[in-house]
Amino acid sequence: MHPHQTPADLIELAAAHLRLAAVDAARRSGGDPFSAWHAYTGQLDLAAAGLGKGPGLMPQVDDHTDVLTHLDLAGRALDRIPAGDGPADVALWCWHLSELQRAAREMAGV
Amino acid sequence: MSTTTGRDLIKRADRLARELSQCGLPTDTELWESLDTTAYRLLRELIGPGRDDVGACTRGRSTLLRVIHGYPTPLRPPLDCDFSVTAAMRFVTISRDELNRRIKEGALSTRVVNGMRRVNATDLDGRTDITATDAADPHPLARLSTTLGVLADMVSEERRHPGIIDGLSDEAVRDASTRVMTWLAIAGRYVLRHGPIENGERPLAVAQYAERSIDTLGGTAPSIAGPDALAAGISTPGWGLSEQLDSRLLRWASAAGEELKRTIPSTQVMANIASIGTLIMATTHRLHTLSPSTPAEALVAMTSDLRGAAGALKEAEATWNRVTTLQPQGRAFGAASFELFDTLRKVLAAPAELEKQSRLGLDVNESLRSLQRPARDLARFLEQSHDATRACLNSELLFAPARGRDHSVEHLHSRTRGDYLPVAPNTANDVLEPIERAASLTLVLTVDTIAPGAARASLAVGR
Repeated sequence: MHPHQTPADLIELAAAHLRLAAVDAARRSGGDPFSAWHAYTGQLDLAAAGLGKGPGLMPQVDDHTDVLTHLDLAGRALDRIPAGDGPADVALWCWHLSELQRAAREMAGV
Repeated sequence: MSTTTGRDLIKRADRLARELSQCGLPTDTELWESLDTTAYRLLRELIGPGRDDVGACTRGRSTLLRVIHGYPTPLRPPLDCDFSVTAAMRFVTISRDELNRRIKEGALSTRVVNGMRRVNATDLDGRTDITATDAADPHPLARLSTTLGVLADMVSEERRHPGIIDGLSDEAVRDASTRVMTWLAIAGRYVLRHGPIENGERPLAVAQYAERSIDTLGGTAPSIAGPDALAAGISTPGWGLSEQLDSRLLRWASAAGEELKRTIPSTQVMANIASIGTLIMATTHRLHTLSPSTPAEALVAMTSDLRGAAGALKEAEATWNRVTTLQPQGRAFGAASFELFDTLRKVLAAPAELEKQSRLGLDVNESLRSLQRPARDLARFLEQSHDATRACLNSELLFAPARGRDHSVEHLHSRTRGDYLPVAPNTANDVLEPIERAASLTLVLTVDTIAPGAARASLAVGR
């Protein structure tokens, strides 16, 4: 963990990545409410709201970062919180992110 | 000489639980049962003095006791104590009458202490086959189980050693218990994914209980009513896609209903209900296209109606995403929503070939029947969400980010600080109209639309 990054900062960073992942998922849905990607966006929004409590930090990423990369970066941010530190449910959020990644991979066919 | 502290063990368990997220090793029921039993033993040790309900002197401790006593019927009781007949009920799956009958007939021995009948824990133990995990087993689940066992021993030693004053504060116990619940939830989910599906009921029940308990211990859930009811009313994971859909729809409806019962529900929950609604519409459409019972001529009108409702739900979702009641959502709802999403998307991608559907365990007409009740639930939830949103608007409890407001001096500081401001009552229509439309369109998609062989959606849908 960076000396200036607290567990709260890293959680907000992960939440910000989830919000950016939702932007890419919405783009993949093409605005079609029948697309599974549209409902997936809802899952990412819900996770971001559950994880982060505020507007949060904006991650330093290029504009073309896709949903899977954002999920990976969100997971890495949480992994940087030392085990046993931060909120008690960090490990469960790591699990949830891995489930979101699995679903995204299956939908993207990768 | 190095010393391992309780904190070291908590860190180790936390690390192992995170490791499970990236692990794909298969597991078995034996390993799960060992962890299930050990985690429960640790929770009991954490309660410490007053493990039999005595000592519920603070609100936090009282909540903790109720959560831990709500554990789905433990596989094994803690073996070093005895219980009142009432407390013994937690460790048996028979009725109170049956337990009394066995005591009366001498099948279960009791002894009288201070005028009260006590049952020895060992007499309640029906699973002596469950043993501690092999400490040399490299599986992360086994290592987690071993770590929890060592932690339980350590807490037990500390709490029972003569002369040691109980040094664990209520707050420390709450934090540790929340962590144990987190590990249990992950372990249960892991076993569901990588363990034998035929024995999935227990890990699912424990994982769901643990998720709800995290909310309760964290103070986000409205009440503790969940754990006991949850253990009794648990739905099974199901083998095939249709069974899975059925059980997950039920669980989602139950979790969404609970969330909307809150005095001020979370807008994120309402947005997510609408989001799931779009997928329910899409899945219904997909199933109708696959169903031989749906007449081809009905499909055109039905497509238009279902798309119309999905479009309205999408607009309502976007509206809820623009405002907030600043209320958190429960973890149990998040888990139920994701599980349902994960199943619905699989049904949505179902192949047209009957043989492939059969391999997935998908029965098209059965799944359409499963969707009938949630479609009615969805309409009811939207109506409730609409009423809650209107009430929050009228009470100035609905907020929007200040950055979305104009650049007037009045809002300058709020914009800079990233504040949320109450939504102005004169913009109420902008908020309520899309929600009303979604509620109305969903309501008219009656059971007839969803049912196998439905002629078409209600004519009112197109308005």
